[in-house]
Amino acid sequence: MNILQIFEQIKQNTDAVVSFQEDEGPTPSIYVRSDSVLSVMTYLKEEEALDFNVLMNHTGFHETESSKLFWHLFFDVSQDESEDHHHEEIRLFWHLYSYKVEHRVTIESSVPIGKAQMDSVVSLWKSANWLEREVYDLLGVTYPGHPDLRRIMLPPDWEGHPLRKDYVAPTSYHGIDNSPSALTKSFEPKGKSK
Amino acid sequence: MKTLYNKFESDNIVLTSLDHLVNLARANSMWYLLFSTACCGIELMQTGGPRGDLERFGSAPRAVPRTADLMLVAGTITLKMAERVKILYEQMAEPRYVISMGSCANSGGLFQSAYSVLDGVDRVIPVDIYLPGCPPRPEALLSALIDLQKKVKKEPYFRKKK
Repeated sequence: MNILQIFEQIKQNTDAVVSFQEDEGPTPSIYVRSDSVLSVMTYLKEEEALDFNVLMNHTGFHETESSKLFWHLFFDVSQDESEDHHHEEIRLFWHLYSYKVEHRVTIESSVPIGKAQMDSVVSLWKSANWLEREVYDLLGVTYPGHPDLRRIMLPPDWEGHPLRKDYVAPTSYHGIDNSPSALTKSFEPKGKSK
Repeated sequence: MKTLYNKFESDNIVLTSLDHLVNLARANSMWYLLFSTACCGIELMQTGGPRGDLERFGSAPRAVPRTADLMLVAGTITLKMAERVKILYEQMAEPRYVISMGSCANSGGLFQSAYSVLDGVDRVIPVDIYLPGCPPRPEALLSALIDLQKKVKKEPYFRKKK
């Protein structure tokens, strides 16, 4: 089944707010509003004809106004009028695959930066456990319903979430000085001071 | 004889200084701590393999810091790892030596401006030999080991200042 047919299936059989994102990005995806992600995922897994039994990947990125402009340069991005327009948001992606039917789909959603909260899908796929911990670690999205939401790669006492665009790298950690050396600073372009 | 000062013919008697003899033994038994954190570790394995054959210089890999003389820091050190590097170094018995292998261990290398990478392992532990390269070839690592052996042979072991 291709992604358009899957999109029609979701539209007919669930009451979730979905839209088909054909021109955005290199692969087509199905955009789901953040409050109906869990119901769409449950449908995708439990429907016999779809049978998505593998969550291959779950990731995301911090989208600002400037990164939106970057996409506009390469792709014809249509403005989504049904969605509340946030200046900054975190875009999340789920890549699903079915071994039985041998088809795949990309689900997309977004949460506002001020209230970065997404439903956990650990109850559907066990592999979501570590993937969601990684997104929490790097982007700071919290998942209510996750059994064990801790940082997965950075130390537990680390401050901030590094893949957010407003993140500032620390110059010292546990008494270890990690500020750039004089030699490193000499390579910086002139007129730029930090 | 170049290595030993004086050797009597056919009597099995050798005259030399104790410093020289001990240093000869130390330099040719540099057991190193297996400590690979990135792709430099692959070159380290190659050096230990049949072509490089690190063991012909008396360097055997050790899995425990307590029995190692040399720490080969092979790879990128993150801030999280830096604390562990320090603990491992402190567990090694003196005299202990450190070879910083590759650009990442020397200065942070390619990942210098990353948020989680330590800009050079010498911010945490003292380094004896800096080995450039990304990653260095096995021949370069052998050359670094030979340089370290030269350094060890020059040390006044019994008259070392504290």
